[in-house]
Amino acid sequence: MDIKTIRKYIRMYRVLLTYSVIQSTTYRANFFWELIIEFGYQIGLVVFFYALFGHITQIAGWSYYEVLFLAGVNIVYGGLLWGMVFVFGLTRLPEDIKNGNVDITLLKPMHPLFGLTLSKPYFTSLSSTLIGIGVMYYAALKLGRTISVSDLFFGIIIFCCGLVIAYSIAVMFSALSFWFLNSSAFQQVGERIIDMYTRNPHDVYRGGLRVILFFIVPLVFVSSVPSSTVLRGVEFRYVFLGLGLAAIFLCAAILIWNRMIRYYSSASS
Amino acid sequence: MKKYISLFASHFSVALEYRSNLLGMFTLELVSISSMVILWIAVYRTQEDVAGYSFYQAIIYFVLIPLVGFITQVDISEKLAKEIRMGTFSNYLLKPYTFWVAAFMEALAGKITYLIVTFSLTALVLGFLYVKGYLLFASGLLFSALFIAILAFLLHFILDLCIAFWAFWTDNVWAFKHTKIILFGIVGGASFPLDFLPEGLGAVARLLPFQYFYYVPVTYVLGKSGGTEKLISDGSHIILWMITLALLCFLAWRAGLRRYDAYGY
Repeated sequence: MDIKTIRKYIRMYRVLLTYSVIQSTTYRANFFWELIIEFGYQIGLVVFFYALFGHITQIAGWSYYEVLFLAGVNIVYGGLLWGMVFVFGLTRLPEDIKNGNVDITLLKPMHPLFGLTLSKPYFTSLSSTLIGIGVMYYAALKLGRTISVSDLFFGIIIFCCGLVIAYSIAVMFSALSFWFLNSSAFQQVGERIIDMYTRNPHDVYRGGLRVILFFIVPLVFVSSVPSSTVLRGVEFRYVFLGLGLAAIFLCAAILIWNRMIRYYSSASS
Repeated sequence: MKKYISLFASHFSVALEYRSNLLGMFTLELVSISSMVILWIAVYRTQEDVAGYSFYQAIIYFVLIPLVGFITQVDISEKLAKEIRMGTFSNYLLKPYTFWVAAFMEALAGKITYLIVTFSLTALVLGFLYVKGYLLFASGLLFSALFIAILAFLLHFILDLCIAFWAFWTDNVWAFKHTKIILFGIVGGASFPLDFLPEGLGAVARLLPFQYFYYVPVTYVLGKSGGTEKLISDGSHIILWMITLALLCFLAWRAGLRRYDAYGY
């Protein structure tokens, strides 16, 4: 893929995002309802940790405000991943495959992976990332630590790598829907693995599981390692590992997707 | 009754149509349970008791939540609301059966396949804890939990019908459905036991019906609730909520049908 093609996709995504903003905000009352629901879902995780820390003082060496910061990062990543990939993309894929609705995307002049996973952003979810940023800011303020620009920069780099890794894992699971017809459960398994294993601080994982979550399903790079980088300082081995794993996982996801899409057969009459 | 049994059988075969989904469902529950267990292992590394829950009680709580959830869960509001909006709801009105019973059969058939999967996984984990001596089954408490869970299922069915009938007035009922799910997590015990909540919020949660869908049945299995008096009190609370919601539902049904327009093709 050359620079020209990348630019074309960025331009296309900008147009699609603008369309999504217009579409979401056309019915304002509905948009505000959606925002409130988004807020409710995000606040659930914060309430969970708030309730838990009423009875404990730390989890695997992470204090309440450190875990709250992690929850904030989680909300940001959740808003981005759900808004960009899941809501109108991967979540609907099994149903679209079953009904033969993938045909129209295959005929468009874009890569099917882009067309089916990234072409319908959901603005309401994307805007909920602001809640996450607010939670992070509050937690950082309460911790009273000085966050250096370099730690923040590398934290964001690792976070972006984590986002690519999570996207790739979601694509790999969802691609199974081409093989097993109407297997929405596989797509949900990917979604659930990403959701459940990104919430916890990475220090809770020990032994073999730690190896799995750092190398095989490296979801600790989504929110836990970026949080630790911002709050406790950068560890460069994580930066290099994150970059390498993001590249490997994205390539693997594209390969699996291209192989699985061959099983697609149209269902229209 | 025969026609309703046929309806149940028909919905049951639809649920079994894509069997690979059952394997996916099994993995889905395994992922949730394992992640929770890992978190609790980390929490209990530094202390023996959290809000009156020992490590094994916390594990049993989170292993049982999906199973209880599958018994009490009903998810028909969005489908029915869509049918009301699109006008295809007329099919229910024209067919020779009572709508309420037909909708109930659909809700029941939809859950049985998933119950089998969740039950097998839960039985595996609980069986292990039982053999190791960390879980003591008291048949009376188990039956009490099951009784409350079945009542909660009926309550949930009526609640979901109430949500669906909003579609006679509004374009979409998704906001009510999602509000319900959020409340299950925070004040229903689906995300954590209500004993973890601060006093004020905990007291509010105990006034609402959402606790019966997750928290209350599990506390019976754990032995934290029990006795005939408590069972009668919980049962009568649920029945009171059922009567209130059924009344609302009935009023919405009658008024809604007068407003309902079906557009033909």
